[in-house]
Amino acid sequence: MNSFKISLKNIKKSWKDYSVYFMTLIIGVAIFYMFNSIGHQKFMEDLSSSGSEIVKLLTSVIEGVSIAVAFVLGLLMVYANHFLIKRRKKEFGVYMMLGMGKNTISKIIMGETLIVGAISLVAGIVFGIFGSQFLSILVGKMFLADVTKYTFLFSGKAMLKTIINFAIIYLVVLIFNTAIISKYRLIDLLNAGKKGEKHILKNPVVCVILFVISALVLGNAYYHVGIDAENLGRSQFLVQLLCGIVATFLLFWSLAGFLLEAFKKTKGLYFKGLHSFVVRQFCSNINSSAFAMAVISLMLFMAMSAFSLGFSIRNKLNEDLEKKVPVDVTLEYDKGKLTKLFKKKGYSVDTWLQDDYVQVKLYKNKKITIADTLGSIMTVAKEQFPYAKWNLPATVMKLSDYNKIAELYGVEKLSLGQSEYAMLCDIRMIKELMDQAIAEENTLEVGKYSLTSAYDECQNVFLVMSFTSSNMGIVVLPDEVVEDSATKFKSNGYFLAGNYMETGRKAKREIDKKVDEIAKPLSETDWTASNVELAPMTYATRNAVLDSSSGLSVLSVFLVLYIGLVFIISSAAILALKALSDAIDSTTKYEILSKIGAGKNMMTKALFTQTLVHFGLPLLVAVVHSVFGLMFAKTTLAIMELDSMFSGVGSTVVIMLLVYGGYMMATYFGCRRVINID
Amino acid sequence: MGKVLEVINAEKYYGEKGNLTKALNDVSFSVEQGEFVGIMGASGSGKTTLLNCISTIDRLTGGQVLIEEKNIVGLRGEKLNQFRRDYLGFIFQDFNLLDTMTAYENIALALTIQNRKVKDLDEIIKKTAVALGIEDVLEKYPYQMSGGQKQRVACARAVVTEPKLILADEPTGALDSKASKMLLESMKTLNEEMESTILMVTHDAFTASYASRIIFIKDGKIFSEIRKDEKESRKEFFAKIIDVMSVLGGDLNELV
Repeated sequence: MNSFKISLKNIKKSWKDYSVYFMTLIIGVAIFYMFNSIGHQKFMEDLSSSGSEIVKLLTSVIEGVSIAVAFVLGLLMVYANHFLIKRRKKEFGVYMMLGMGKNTISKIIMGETLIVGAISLVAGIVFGIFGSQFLSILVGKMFLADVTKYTFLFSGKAMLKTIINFAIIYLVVLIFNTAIISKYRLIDLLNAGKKGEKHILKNPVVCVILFVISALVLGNAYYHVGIDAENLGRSQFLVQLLCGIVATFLLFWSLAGFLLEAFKKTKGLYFKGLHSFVVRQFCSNINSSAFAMAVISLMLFMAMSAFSLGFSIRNKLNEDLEKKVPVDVTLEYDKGKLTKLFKKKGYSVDTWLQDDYVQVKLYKNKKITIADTLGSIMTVAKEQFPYAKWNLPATVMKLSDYNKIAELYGVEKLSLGQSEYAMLCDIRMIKELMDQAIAEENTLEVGKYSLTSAYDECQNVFLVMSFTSSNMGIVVLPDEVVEDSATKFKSNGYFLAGNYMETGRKAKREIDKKVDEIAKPLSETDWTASNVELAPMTYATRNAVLDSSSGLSVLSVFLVLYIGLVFIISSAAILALKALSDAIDSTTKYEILSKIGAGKNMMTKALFTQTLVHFGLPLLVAVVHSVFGLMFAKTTLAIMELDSMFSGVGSTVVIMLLVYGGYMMATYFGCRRVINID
Repeated sequence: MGKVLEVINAEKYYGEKGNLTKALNDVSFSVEQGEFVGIMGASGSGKTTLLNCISTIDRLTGGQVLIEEKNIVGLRGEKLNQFRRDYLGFIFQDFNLLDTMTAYENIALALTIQNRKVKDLDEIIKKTAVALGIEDVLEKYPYQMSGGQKQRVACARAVVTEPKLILADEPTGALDSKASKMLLESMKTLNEEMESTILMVTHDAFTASYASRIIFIKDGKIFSEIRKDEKESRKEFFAKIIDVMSVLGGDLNELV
């Protein structure tokens, strides 16, 4: 019998016991292929027909992330192999007793790695090809595009990349395995089967103290990051993050000892049925793999945070997208009429804009700053946004001008009394402040006029389109107030909005390009200049807003799915492997239990509790981490109006239940089969 | 005194027609309460099969096993577990202690499986530990104990539930002679002072000499039975056992 045959037999034999691991390899390859082929899929061309940078960005980001993903999968495989080989010491011992050399054993292992690698690669790529088709349809559905035209596409480049990546990983695994084998001595191999298992005994007092310390450090980090995030500087954040990571490791290191002490104190619970057995099994389990558990917990934390954030961003972006793009183009220019600008550039708006376009003059006045519109609420505002420049004059427009825009946009027109004003703002955090100011009957004083708000709250509208909210606050005044020369209103540039004459998609894109050519250079602020001067132009076309919106959605969803799924399946696979090999070890233990009279129900319950806790504990720690992580994200990202993120949490829970829960159940049934309680 | 165990016409066959092995062939005997019975025989004589069938780990092909006049051959499922839990105590050759638990917890487990009250545990365990001389190792883990200590802990686990019958399968098989002696002394104490009924399988004459009655098995049948007289010393009984064994092993007819 040559070594290859032995390899084949071994794989057949262990296929059943470790099917969870093999499935994870296949899924890992499939995911890797799917996401690397995204750049070549048809829907990406559609999303990017305007030549937007988003696709390039997506492809390059996924390429970058793929390195991290390959690294994680590589770690999983090295760990799993190390683990499986350690379990097979006895078998190798027998081979050597029969006169087989270490070289041959290395060859057997090499054969096994090659077979497993080849099978998982081929199966993974096949699944990946079908998966990317499914992904295409999913993307189509998610981003409101026509699904039917997405056909089956195969990406040779992605396949090649997948093969090369995994070939490297398998090679690394191979080197590791050979190194491990060459270290073994026959006597150690043969004795491995005997119960020489060393139990890592930790001093219970040290454990309890360390546990309390790590809990305190975590609590402190939670408080600063989650609850008191507004006062958290960048460097402090990093310190807290580091504390959190270190405390997580300490937590798992000391957890077993702490739990054991805690349980022993509650005798009624500990000495009941098989409880003491389950607790002991579990404690010895985390004692021997505290490091892996902590890493898994942190990986789950990252995956869940990424899921929640990614889905939240997508949900927010897709919300009311159509309402955000009422016209084809909007421009705001500080230095004169836009019609003049375009005429000068040889692209008169009369040739490409429909007649009903609106161009209005914007004003400003030293007497009306943003601070003035907030009045007594200013102190609150300063606390919330300490770095904003509140003393800049606010943008002002005439009522008649605004109503022209309102008609074009299809939103409600305003009407003002002689001494009334209206506020426009669509950034929720600022709008809330302004609403408070209005509620406190804030008045604007300009010249002889004393103006109060005509409405109970700010109008939630914008002038320049944008896929996130960007209107910081515009004041609408009665025409005669602005026109009165005594009030000294000055020009603050012009605003233009309109629809293209062309109706075809391609033709519209052509106009977009022309507008870009003229407006883009004027809209770029040189942030590197010593004296930063904001660019005079802000503008947006409907297509650009839609592109960046759907592009950003696709980007965020893909990235979180990619990273999150790989992290979750890797973590779950390691847990499953550990549980299964423990089960093989525990077979005799369950036999003993059976002999001293434990019933089948009692034992299945014990096994289930064991599996549940094994999977549940790292998850529990990760969930608590994530809750505070999301609280932090909510505070820091609120200015982007992403605090509706908890809609994304729902999707995360579903994914976790399906993937992680699936792994748990598969492991449970696998263990049951191994232990053979029935 | 009543009969704790009664084996009637026990038969156990392996294999199929034409290739039948009779591991037990019409074995009948009984054990009175408070007895310490040894079963002796060479490897392959069927003594372990007999023990397995009595302990409900294996099933008889024919015949009956009555424990406290209750036939256990027909028991299935939860009832079987319950029976094993409440009526039997086991001592194995390789100890079978759970290595993640301390001696105390190992012993306690047998009680908690029976859903005993927590407040009673400590007293019962301490009492048993004193009887077996293991009160000093109660907080130790199996790997911190010697073989003899482990076996006495296993012994404590078997008797702590006060089972009707204690089944011991080669209990000294993995012990050195000193540890064997200590274990057997402990078992004798259990038998005499706590009135435990013990059925012990062994092939070692010295171990068997601690029993009060010995049943010899050969090729699945009862070969002979000897009883220790009240006045007889263990040394004399040992000599008797050796005598039987020489007949048992060296069947002159087979030497031809």
